[in-house]
Amino acid sequence: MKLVTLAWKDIRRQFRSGLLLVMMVGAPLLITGLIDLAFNSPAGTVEIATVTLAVADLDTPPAGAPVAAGRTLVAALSTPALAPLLSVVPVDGADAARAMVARGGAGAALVIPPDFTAAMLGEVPSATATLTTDPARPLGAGVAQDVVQRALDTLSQSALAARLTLQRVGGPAAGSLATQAALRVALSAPRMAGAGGVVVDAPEGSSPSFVARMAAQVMGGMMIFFVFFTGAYGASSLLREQEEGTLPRLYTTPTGAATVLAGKFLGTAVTLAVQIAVLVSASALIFGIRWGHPLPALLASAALIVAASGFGVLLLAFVRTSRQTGPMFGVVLTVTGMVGGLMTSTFTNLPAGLALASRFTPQGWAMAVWRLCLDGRGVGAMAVPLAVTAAIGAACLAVGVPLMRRRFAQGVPS
Amino acid sequence: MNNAVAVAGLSKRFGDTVAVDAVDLEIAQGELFSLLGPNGAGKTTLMSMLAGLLRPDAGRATIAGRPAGSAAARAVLGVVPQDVALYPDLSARENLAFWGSMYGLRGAPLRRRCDELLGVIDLEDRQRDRVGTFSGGMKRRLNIAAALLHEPAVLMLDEPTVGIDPQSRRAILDYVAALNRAGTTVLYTTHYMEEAQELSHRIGILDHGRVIALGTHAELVRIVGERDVIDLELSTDAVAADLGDAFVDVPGVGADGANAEDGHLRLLAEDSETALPRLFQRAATRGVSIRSVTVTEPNLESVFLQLTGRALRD
Repeated sequence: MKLVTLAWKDIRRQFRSGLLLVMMVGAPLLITGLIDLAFNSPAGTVEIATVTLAVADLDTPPAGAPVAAGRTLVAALSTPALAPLLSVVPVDGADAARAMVARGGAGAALVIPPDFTAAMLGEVPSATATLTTDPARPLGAGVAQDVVQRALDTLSQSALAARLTLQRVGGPAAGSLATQAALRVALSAPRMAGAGGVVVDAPEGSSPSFVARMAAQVMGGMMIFFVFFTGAYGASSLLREQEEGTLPRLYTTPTGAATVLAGKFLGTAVTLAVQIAVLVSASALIFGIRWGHPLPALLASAALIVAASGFGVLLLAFVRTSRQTGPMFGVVLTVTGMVGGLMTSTFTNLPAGLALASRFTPQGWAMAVWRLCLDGRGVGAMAVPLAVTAAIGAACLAVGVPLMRRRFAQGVPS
Repeated sequence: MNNAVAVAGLSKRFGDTVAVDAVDLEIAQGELFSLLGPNGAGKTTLMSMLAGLLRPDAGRATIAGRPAGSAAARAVLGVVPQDVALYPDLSARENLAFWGSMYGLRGAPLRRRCDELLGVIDLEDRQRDRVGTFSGGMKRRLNIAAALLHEPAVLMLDEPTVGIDPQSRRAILDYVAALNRAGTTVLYTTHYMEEAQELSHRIGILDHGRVIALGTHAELVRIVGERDVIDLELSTDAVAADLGDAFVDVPGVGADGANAEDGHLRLLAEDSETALPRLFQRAATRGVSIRSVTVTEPNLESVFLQLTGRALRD
């Protein structure tokens, strides 16, 4: 019961601090709101500049091939339905395409490989189409990637379906000619009334949900960033209580040191849980963010709470006075948050080194968990980052708690 | 007689500094005992060991027969720390309720006790206000009340009147006296001799971690006999120090209590009326002017002066 009383006291104190409330809830929602506002027009529709896609079609169909899959792909990307999003510019050669991106003349470059049709016909195991995007234009890169991916998926699925059907119907005797014929039908069959050839649906970039997805990435990053701040603040309340004299006074009561410290943890954990719940709910209502399935979101929250409170306890070992906590926590949490990718959560083309560095921060792993959660993935898919996030938090606690006990409860009966 | 507090050979050292040096002390049940000593004498260290906040290097202490620092001892002990130790962002009632629950109180008994104490410390009207908005005196009163929720058998107050206005100080002294009359054993530390003199059944004088005198006020004053304290305000500190040696051979002026500092020279004199003209004469021959003279009858200040050669408030 004392444990709950101790925790409840801390929760009340934290939620009565206007500054802390701004940091816990106001700041992440405000930052996400500003970004959302930047990409969302007042009418609620998306205004995204058309992305120029430089296409180098190197496809050389095998002799007698019924179709040229490369040409079909280019045609699919050039349909009027995609015109508001994508402007396809054919270029000669892969280098020219990439150079155009480098000059800023295109937002993305697609290189269709020479054996593209052969791969579609099953004559070679695979072929790789390469998409190069401009990292300075993440939104355009995202649109191009989305559209090209859909076109490639549609082509591959049609070709695969045709080959499988023929194998079942004709067995191994069904030769390449039959496959080619079926493929011709598959690739040229209209999927929508009035449209010919491969039809690529417009990506979500043309709907508010595209911006919502981007807002979700930003919100996820900001939530993790500020949850870590709250975790550190919660841990530092022990230091403040020591300076205010209330911690020594607590030890003059018949309350053990272990109960006092456990009450602190419980108070911080509940505060973090409330913060996450409020941010998730508020962002869902305000920005239409879908945070994934309940169980994965719940587990992601639990892992985040362990990581944030554990990291806070560890940081506390390196500060002597409560006056040092502001600068120290500010610097460490901002740097680790940035390295962890919390500020660049919407970028898809981060340098490999930065992506690797993010794996050395608890925030980076927490972001990986929430990214999967936002993608609607299940517990199985997020098991590894989930376990790593929680393990980092547990390791921080394992190191930090004994230090904390030595510092704040030495000589006090437990 | 059962002792509420028993201390035997208690010692504590911080590095090379001996904070408490083999202190022996017994405080009877229902007694109001004051520990008097200048800043740094070891009062707070001694209290901290009794409260279980510091482990002694040597010796032992019990509170109501239970080892000091044990949960059993802490359950019957109320501690009022020197500085206000309350939560400024909680209300007066919330603070009391919190501290009460730390002593195991719950539900209706806790609410009733909070009501009683809020009335006693005259904060009923402000009970819903945050403590951060209170005056120093109000905080001090609440600070004491927070140690009384569980009706402790022994109450320890560590300089509870430091830095507050005379009205609040008076209220606190009256309240401590009333608590003691109601049966609570009180251990009170102070460096104000008037408080110790007014409140206490017995007084222990602590200096450099050692109890240098112990007894009732009358018993302690008898140490200096019938000698008055003569406080001469001179021109400069340096001159006062020089004159100290010159004055102690004046007939009736004791060498044992001479003390010079801050431009003041304090002497113990058996007959101040006879001694004063001689002191003026001696000062004149040295070319020193005496700005003012204060003569005080024997009190705890003179006891401390006699025993240590220093003023109590140094």
